[in-house]
Amino acid sequence: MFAVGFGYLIIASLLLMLFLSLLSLFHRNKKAAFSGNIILLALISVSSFAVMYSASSGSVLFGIISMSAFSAFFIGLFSAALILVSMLAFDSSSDYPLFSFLLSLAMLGMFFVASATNLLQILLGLEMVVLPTAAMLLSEGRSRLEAAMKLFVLSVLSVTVLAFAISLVFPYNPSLSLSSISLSGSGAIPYFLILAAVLFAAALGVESAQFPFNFWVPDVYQGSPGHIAAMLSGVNKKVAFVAIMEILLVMLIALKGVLSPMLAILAIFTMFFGNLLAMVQGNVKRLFAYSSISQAGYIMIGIAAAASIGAVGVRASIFQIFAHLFMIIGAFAIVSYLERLNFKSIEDYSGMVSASPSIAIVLTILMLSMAGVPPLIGFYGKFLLFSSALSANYFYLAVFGIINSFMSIYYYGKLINSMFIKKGKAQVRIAPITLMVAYVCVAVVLVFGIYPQPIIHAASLASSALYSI
Amino acid sequence: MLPIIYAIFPLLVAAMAALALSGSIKFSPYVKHISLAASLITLFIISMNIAAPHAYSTFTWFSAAGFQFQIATATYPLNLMLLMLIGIITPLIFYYSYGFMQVPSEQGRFYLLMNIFAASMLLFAMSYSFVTLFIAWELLGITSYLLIGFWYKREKPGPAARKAISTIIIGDVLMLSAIIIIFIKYGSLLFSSILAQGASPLLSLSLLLIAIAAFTKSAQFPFNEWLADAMEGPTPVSAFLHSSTMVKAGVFLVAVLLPLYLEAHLLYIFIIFGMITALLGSLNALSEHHIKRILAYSTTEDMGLMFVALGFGSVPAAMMLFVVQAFYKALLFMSAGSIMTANKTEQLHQSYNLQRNKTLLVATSIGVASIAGVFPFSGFFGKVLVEQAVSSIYVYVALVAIEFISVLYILRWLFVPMHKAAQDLGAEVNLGYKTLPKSMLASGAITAALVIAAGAAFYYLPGFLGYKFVSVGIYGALAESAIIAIAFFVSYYAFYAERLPKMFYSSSASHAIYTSTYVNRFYSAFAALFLAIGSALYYAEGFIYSIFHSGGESFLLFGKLLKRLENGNVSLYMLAFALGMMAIAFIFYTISL
Amino acid sequence: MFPILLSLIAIPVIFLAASALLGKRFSKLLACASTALALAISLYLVASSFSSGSASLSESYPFLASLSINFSLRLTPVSLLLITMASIVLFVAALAGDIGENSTKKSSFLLLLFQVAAMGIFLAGNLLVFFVFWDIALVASFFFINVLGSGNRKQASLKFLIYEIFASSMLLLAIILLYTSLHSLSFSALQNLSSVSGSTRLAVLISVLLAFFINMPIFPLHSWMPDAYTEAPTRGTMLLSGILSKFGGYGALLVLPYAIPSKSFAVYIAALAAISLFYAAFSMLGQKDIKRALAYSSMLEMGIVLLGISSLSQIGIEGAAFAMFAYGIIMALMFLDVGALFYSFGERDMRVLKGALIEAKGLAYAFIFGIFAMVGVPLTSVFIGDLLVFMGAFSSFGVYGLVPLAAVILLGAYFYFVVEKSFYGSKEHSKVIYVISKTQSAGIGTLIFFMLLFGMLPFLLLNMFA
Repeated sequence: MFAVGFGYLIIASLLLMLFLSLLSLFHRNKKAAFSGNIILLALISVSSFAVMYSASSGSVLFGIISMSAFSAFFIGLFSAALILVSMLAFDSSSDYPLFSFLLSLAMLGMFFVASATNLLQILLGLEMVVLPTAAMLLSEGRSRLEAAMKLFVLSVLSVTVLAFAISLVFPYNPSLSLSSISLSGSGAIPYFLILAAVLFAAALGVESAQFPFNFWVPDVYQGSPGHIAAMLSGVNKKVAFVAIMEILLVMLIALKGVLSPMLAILAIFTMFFGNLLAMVQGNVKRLFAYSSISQAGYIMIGIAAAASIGAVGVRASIFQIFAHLFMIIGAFAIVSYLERLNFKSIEDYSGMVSASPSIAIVLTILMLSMAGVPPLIGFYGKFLLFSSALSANYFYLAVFGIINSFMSIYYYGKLINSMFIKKGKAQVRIAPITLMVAYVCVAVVLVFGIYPQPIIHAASLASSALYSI
Repeated sequence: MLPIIYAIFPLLVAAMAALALSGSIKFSPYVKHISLAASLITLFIISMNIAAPHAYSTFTWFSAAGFQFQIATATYPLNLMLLMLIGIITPLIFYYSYGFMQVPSEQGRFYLLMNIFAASMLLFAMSYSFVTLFIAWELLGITSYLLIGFWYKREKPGPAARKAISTIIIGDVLMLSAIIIIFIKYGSLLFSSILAQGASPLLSLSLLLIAIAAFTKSAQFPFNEWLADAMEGPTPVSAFLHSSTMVKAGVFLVAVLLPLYLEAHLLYIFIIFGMITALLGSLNALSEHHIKRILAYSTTEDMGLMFVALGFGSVPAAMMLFVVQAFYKALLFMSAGSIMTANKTEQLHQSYNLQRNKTLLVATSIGVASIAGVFPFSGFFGKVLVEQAVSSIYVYVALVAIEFISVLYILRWLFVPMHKAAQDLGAEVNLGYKTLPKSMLASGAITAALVIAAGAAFYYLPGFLGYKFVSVGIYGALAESAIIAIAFFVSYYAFYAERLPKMFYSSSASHAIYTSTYVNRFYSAFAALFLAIGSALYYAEGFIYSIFHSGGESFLLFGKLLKRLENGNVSLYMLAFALGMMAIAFIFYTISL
Repeated sequence: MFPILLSLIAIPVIFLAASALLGKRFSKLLACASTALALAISLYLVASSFSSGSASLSESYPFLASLSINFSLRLTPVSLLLITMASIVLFVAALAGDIGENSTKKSSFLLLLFQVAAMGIFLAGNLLVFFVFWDIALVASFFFINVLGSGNRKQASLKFLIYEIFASSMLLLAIILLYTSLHSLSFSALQNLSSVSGSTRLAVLISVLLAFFINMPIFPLHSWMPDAYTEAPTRGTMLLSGILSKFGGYGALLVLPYAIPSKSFAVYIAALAAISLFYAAFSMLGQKDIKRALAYSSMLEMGIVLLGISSLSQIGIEGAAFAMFAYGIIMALMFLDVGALFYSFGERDMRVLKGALIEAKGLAYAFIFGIFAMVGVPLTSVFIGDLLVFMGAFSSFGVYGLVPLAAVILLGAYFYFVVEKSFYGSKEHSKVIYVISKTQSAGIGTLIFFMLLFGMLPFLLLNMFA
């Protein structure tokens, strides 16, 4: 009951947000839209976390929306993330009201994906996330046209393939619900189902930046303004992971013997692709783009392990999703802002510590967290991920994961090295709102790095709820 | 702990006083008085204990993993003998230093080190466990190092000190190894337990290591070069450390452990190396020109002889020489210091007019006569007893030859400074002799008296040590005296009257027998070898790093290869997508098989 | 029950926060206060362990309940030895190590961060706590070299970071292997390691060896060390060689006895230790920069420690722990002294520096004392450490175990040569450019004091070993 009540509250807030942003679109009032967004997103976030900790679950709207710990966690997380994204956008978006409208649409889509009970819901939700994001990018002006077009094309591709995959599942799951498909027990896995799995992996792989579907990621991230890059890498990618978890882990659990190794291979390639290319980048924004590709690989490790052993792997992936979301939003916030001030390459960053010590320190903390250095949150994510891989008996997966973690210190170290050179540089000042976003992210990284237990606990709640959908 | 331990305390107090007062100009003159007083008190305490019961006592310092590390002191006859010896010599040297160390700023540091040294030497003398022994052993080494390099502002003391301690450290490490072997094997480091053990290979190994350590300390071949260089230290240091006490620590240790060496059939080592050192020492002394270095080589020869005596199993003979050598060497060094101060030179052939100072001349002559083995000076008894202990005819003949050379060089050492100097130089030198500090002459005189008195040890020492009295054979004595007489005449003509051609001045013959350079060159070659290895490793370092570096570079190479894929074309995305799907399908297929 | 172990970690955290917030004037004072408190607490612990004859405390706080891993701290004799050494070195580094520095705030901040890490590691009760603090120390050291180091610091710090992060990655691998097979990361659970499957044990062994050997360092994984030690500032090098290198030694001491497949395998480790030892000794012979030579001698002494650990005998391991204690103090002393000499004369090259004894007597005599200590003259703590280690080596490996003592000869020979060339006078001698302050002398004096105190009264520290 509790969950149901809050569920309705959330839906109401979402609709209200949509309505208000539509209004602001016509009235062109940036500040009102911003405050409306923030307040409503905060409300959504708090309610979701209340649902999560209340250990109650239920379904809303005739069973379409399922409010469980899993969905509540992600709704809360995404809405909190979108607060940060809105703050960034307030600063750097060229058309904030339009942005806020599209954001509300996206939030609605995320809500659908997270609380899905049905494949069509996921499709719809994903579309509602992905297409408005492409529209956001389009609305940013001619200079972003190329990135916007690429994003649009690939978003359409992924959604289409996803639809096709769903149609393939239909014979085995006429209601298209997300409950586990059970095979007839003949032993042989039907080809259509395997094809469907392939297509699911491909489609969701595009969105979640898995190799080899992620070639678009660096180009699009580099070509986007800060708030969109943060949203793409921090939020959209994670939405795709949620979809992966729901579809591949729950619905297609019968295929786990086949899925698990394949996902592991996917993870390995993604990690190496991301890290190897990051090591040879000179442009900082692109470097972080590749870094977030490799982080997507790490998250996939957890899912691959989960395909084999269940909730432990999911817990690890959920934790890393939480961690990486904040890390990358903070990183892109700063990096994109600096890009506007013409700090693009690693050499441009040289002497940053004297130009702005706070930027240098904040960026260093975020990078060290991404590299997995304790006592920052990234370390616990990696710890959980690699131990889940070992529990699933994937020794080499864990070893590759650790090697990749080690490789990443090379390029982070290069950047840190460059930043901490003492030069008499002109002072760099970052806009207060962007800086505040960065500080919030660093605070999350530090606080939950020193005491990660609350997040681990939340991830456990979410992961066990996943399997009882 | 035994009451004898209190003997150390006055010296330690004096050391601390020296440290405390060394800073102030006003009080540093008192340091020498405090030190002399302390050394006399120490002598008093030792004399009080001379009749102490022959026993040892232990004190557990610490224990670890079941091993007890014990400090043990003993008052057995050997210990008492050495304690008495040190107790007598220390005040003499300190009194001598009154006159020699005149510079106020140096005195604090000098007496600090000398007092610590004397305390360590006493600790060594009374030690009865390897723990105590090793502590004292190392302390002797480091005080010796600091004292050799005392005048650090000059050029030569630095290298000399380094050479000394680099040689001694070899012995220290070997000694430590021996101690470890003994402790692990026998569970105890007390001499009483060790001396009771039967022969075994590990024990023989330890004894061998200890023997080599003793050689490094006592400057036996092949470690005999550091002592000559150590003469760069002030003369009191040479007189104290490097003739009478510290360098003889090795001999003393071997004497204590002699029963074990006998059991392990290792005595021949001492004979061999002792003889070689004695021979080299005497030859080098004969061809050396530096006043104190001659005496240094002579000291190595003395100790070689002591080792030979021990090698033939005769502790009384070795200890007799031990005692008498301490006195005559100390005396000779004191005289050397006086001669050098008066002549303001270190070279033998630039010293003149020794006859001017009658006290000095007499004292020096007594010392020279003693070392030459002239009856009835104490050195005679020492040398003759050693010769009598030798039971091999070859060794005996060689020994006699060495004796002959010894007399030659020591008389050379005496006669050359007695030459008359030219007019103006002579006046200067005479003034130098006239203004020699009284303390230097007085201490020399006292020591000379002791050299004569030490002859009495011949009657008392063997009994005191618990051995039978050894008498001097009349034939041996006559042979000894004959040799000495011949050598006296030869050196008189060669050095005093200068009738014989200047053979040993700087001729090739002199160079030929001066082996010091060869030994030094050998060590330098060794050092060069090690340095070469060190430099080679520099390149190895680069090589090792480059292995790891290229490993890392290979990653970058992969990355750069992959980078070629970055061309921003959407068609590439599509191609990748399609290929990716096919690959996944293929992987599924192979897995499900 | 006063949480004394937690306070050792909590105090520097508080001071760390304070130093970040307060101004430049307070930073050195805060650092000294924090380290002085730590020193007082550890000396108190030593005293109470000496009188009670045992040292075993443990505290446990809830941390990762979902993973059933607690924030557990424990005190054992070995860890008390290392805590004491760390607090002595930290205190002197805070008091005297800032020779010639001009960024006291950064330096003190990093020092306090390092203090947190050092206390945490040696008090760790399980491997996770160990690992977390290990990396904190690593980050602090990296910034010491990177921000405050000398000429070649960028390259040196990057090399350091890469090698050390690789080491910590290997340690992480070992940790997750142990976690998944033993389901517990506490050190007491390590005893059950023999029940784990062979391949897992092999993987744990290799990764642990790699991790600790990079850190100590042991040949051939040592390439990061000479540059890192030489380029770091005085404070940094004191902490690096005095404390950081002991992390690997401490870890090896805890883990190796259980991770080794059989007793005979220990011989290989001992052989590696000996090779590393001699490599360091010979490399040291070729050095002209005194600081770099000291870096190699630091590697030499960790070889001795590894030799003691590999003997797997009680006396060898006690010796290794005491050796880590002693060598930590002596390396801190030597590096502080060299730093002061460099500051005074502007020169560290022994071919150029001449006659240091003439103008900087105190520093020179401290250096000479340091050589005596390094070589193992009795009445210094190093002597006890070396003695016990080699007793263990002989008891396990026979006479071959004593061969590494020859490296001590080389060590002594080289440094006495340095003293001859650079300290003893010659015609022209180097002139003092800057005079060191009283705090530097006090720091050197403190280290000498502790070196002698525990050398003359080793039972103060040895009583608590069963």
